Amino acid sequence: MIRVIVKRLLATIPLMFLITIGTFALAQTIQGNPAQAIAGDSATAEQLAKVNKELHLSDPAPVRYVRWLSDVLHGNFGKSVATHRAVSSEIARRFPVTLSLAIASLILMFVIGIPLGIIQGMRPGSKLDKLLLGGVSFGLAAPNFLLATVFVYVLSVRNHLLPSMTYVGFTKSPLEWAKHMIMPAFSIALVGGAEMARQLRTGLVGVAQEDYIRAAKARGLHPARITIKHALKNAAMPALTIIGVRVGYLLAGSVIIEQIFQLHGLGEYVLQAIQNKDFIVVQTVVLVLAGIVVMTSLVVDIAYAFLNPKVRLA
Amino acid sequence: MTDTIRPDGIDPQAAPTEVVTLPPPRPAWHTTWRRFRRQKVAMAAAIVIVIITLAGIFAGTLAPHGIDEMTSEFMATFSKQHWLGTDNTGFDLYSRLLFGIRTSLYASLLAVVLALVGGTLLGLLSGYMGGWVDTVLMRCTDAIMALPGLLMAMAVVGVLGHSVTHAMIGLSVAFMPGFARLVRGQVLAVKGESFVEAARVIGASPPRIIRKHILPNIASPLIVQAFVSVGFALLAEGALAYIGLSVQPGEASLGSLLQQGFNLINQTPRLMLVPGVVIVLLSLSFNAVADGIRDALANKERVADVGAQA
Repeated sequence: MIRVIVKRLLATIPLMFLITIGTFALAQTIQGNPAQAIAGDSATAEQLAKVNKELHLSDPAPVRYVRWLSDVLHGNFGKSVATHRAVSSEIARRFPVTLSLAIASLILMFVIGIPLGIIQGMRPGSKLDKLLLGGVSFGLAAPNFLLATVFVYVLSVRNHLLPSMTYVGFTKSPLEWAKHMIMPAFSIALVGGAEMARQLRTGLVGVAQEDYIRAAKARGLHPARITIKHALKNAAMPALTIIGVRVGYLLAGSVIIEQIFQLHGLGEYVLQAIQNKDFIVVQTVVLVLAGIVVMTSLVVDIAYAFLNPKVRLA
Repeated sequence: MTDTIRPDGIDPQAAPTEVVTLPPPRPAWHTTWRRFRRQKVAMAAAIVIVIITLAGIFAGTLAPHGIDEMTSEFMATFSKQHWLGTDNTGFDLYSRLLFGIRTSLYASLLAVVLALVGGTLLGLLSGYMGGWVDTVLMRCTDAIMALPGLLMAMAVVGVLGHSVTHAMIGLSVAFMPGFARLVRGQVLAVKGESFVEAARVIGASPPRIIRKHILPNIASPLIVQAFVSVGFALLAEGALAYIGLSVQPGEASLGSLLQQGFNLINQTPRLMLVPGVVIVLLSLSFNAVADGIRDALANKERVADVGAQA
């Protein structure tokens, strides 16, 4: 088990290294003329030269990459080119918004996906299963931004049932937080929930053929008990592994959803930065987002290894 | 009866019998198509795709009004002149919808074709070469998969300028790892088969082995993945257009129509509902066709989760 964890941890290091190269390259491509962006359109040639020198912009890219990497490793994320504010403090301010959106979406994803998957998987081919399959297909095809706007229109604009366009911190008032989060989180979570339901259904259908399930049936156990106690353990594995992938989708989805609900999170920050050609912000925020994805899949993999004796005892 | 039997086994003195000609062996796609045809949902979805695609291709002929032709009616509802009504600038929604379908389909196909070609090449290289090439390429796909795909598209738009093509180039990079991994896995599975070994033993060159023996055997899961990806790409283009990073003003895509509809949602939900229904229907259909092909291929091929981080 420890060997598995260590091996997985070690594999993360070159991956993160590659990601820093990727984010740096990504930010380089949007750079345009950063000195011009910082100094303003009316800047003189000397002012431009000064900015260039301050930020070492005239150095070759590999040199700047190494300098940036060492800064990041020292916890120094630099200052925004556009607003001159420290990127780290801005990230600290916005991170809770994006994090709570991601967590709320993950919770909703389970709430949607697990019951649906179990109901379908218990009686595959039944009328209810077919009906729900249709619902799942719709969930996979419905764009999150469309769902979000429909929610805003129906629940907020028309009926004033739920608040939108604002954010209330969880620590301030959990109830208000939930009220504000449910629409954006649901918009993001539906796709993931649908996918999870589908995985779980496939898993349960596959497991149902196994001898130990037939044995449990033969002993006269209640179908619900068989599903929950015996089948689910094995069927849940593939559904679990998709969480790692899903977190990436959640974060990407949050860029759009934060825009629609006017939440001041990391997604909004990075979108603004791209539009302002603010390369320092872009490379840092993308690195942070990618880091979250990598860490999540690390945790999921380790949890998977822990739950699966085949891997644990290998 | 003669006592000499000709090598071809035909008795020259026997009464002429009816010549039995066996039908030529059916190609594999024939069976697949027969199985696909039997699935009602998938067939319905395929028909929807064909109709909507034709509508998009012939938008120029079918549309009663130009894409930026202002009519004298503003916010008109469904009528004979304007089947789907007009918006606040007097644009005919039906015409714009046709042009929007064309743009959205062009965009998604572009992203998927680029990703398919690039991903297949990378996957073949990785799977066929193995060793350090494989390791390096696979770690790179891991890294790309950790970056949110929409962000990549946004960044490419940021540097190259706002256009559908640029957005889709960025998106195709996000799709590529999914294809590359799928191809790699299939290549590894096929590479050990005896027919590939036999080809190698008789001296076939690697490009020939790949072309003649490996590609045909991995084509079907790739087609399934391509259909799934088109569905995702449609939604991703929609999302990018929705935040104003894809089409230019004056053009239309399903996403930009949705976005304009949203701005006028307090006056009428119609302008958002119409493109919304079309985009969901299209994306649903591409997924359904992918499922249909998968089932028609006898459930043998498992398609990996798409790298579409939309």
